[in-house]
Amino acid sequence: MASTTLTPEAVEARVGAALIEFGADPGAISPAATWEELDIDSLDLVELAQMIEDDYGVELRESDIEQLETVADAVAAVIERAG
Amino acid sequence: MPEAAVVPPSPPAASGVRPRLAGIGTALPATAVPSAEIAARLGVEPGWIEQRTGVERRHIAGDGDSLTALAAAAAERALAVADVDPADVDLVLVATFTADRLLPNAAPLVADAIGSRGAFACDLGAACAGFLSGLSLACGQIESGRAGAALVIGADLVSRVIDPDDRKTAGLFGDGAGAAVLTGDGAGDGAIERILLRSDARRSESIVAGRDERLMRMRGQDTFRAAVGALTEVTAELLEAEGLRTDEVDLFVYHQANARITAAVGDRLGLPRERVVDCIAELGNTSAATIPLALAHADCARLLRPGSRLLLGAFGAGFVWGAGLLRWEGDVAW
Repeated sequence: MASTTLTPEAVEARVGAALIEFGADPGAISPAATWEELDIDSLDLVELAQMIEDDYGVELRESDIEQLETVADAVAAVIERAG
Repeated sequence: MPEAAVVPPSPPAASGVRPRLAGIGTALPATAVPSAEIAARLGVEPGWIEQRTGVERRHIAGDGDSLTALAAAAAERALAVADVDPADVDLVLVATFTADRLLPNAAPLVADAIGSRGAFACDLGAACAGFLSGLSLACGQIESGRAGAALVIGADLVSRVIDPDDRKTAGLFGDGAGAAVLTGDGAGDGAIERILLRSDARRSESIVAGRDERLMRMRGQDTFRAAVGALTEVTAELLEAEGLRTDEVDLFVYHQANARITAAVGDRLGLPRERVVDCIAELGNTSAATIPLALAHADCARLLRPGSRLLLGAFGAGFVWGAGLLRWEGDVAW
């Protein structure tokens, strides 16, 4: 729990790896990429939230997840809440 | 799922009387509705429902159908397979949250319909964990000698509490019934072993149906996470209590909530896909009926053989959840 390196770059890399696991095109992943562009659906986001909780100790509920639209949003949420 | 207050599981069958799963019967409404039809109504792309739920079609009750009749049909089939006379049944439990009316409850009507008039008959409410909860209660009655033969029926017409325009539920659920006959001679194959049941209401608002609206509302993402966590944990807890490894269980039969929940639980436990039943494509989530329907599916698909060790798992509104172990006996499913 919460042992993973907490820099924006490291979080972005971890989130990116998870998105690839969910089937996103690696070439399409960027901070500005939206879930729709990456073909990431609502349940993929739940699994992403679980990964974030496991790795960073940051709990994102359904109402929080709904506010996230891009990779950068997810990274920012982790940095802000873990800090 | 957050940690519940954990109590040590009680040992099964202290009396020496071992409950046996002697028969499984199922019943579905005649009409099957494909996901494409629901997707068109919801205004989502073709494949949207299948991708998120795994559901390709589900049976939906018509105006002439009733929960009582569907539950009775499943019960009659289970009794026929078990070769148990309905007059010898002295306990009828119907797990449901969609009985035809608020009163009377479904169980006495079902008991009457199948020829078990006079039996102790009551409904129980544990949402999607209702069948497993009923199994545990009936086992206790049999182990204590208070019942000789019992019927545990999981039946729900979920379509009656679904908002057809709600994307979170409209494509997921279906209607159906499944019944199990329990007798008291379960020393070998058919033995129902330990069942663990848990509850935690801290996130109870995740799945609700109010008395005024009478429609189910679900926070899908919160429910998804809670279900995956709870089913994974309770499976591990049960296996540890019994000193079993996952590879000593022949088949994992989980409540068919959503294909992606089932897959996520299997992945977390490191289970091979072929040892986790997934039959939601044809049936949808039928709430309390999913486990007996999944057992019948597994039998039909020849995934079971006499002596197979099965782990059942369920999770539902509340939240309530649990897992149980049993030995499968051949030729007991309709």
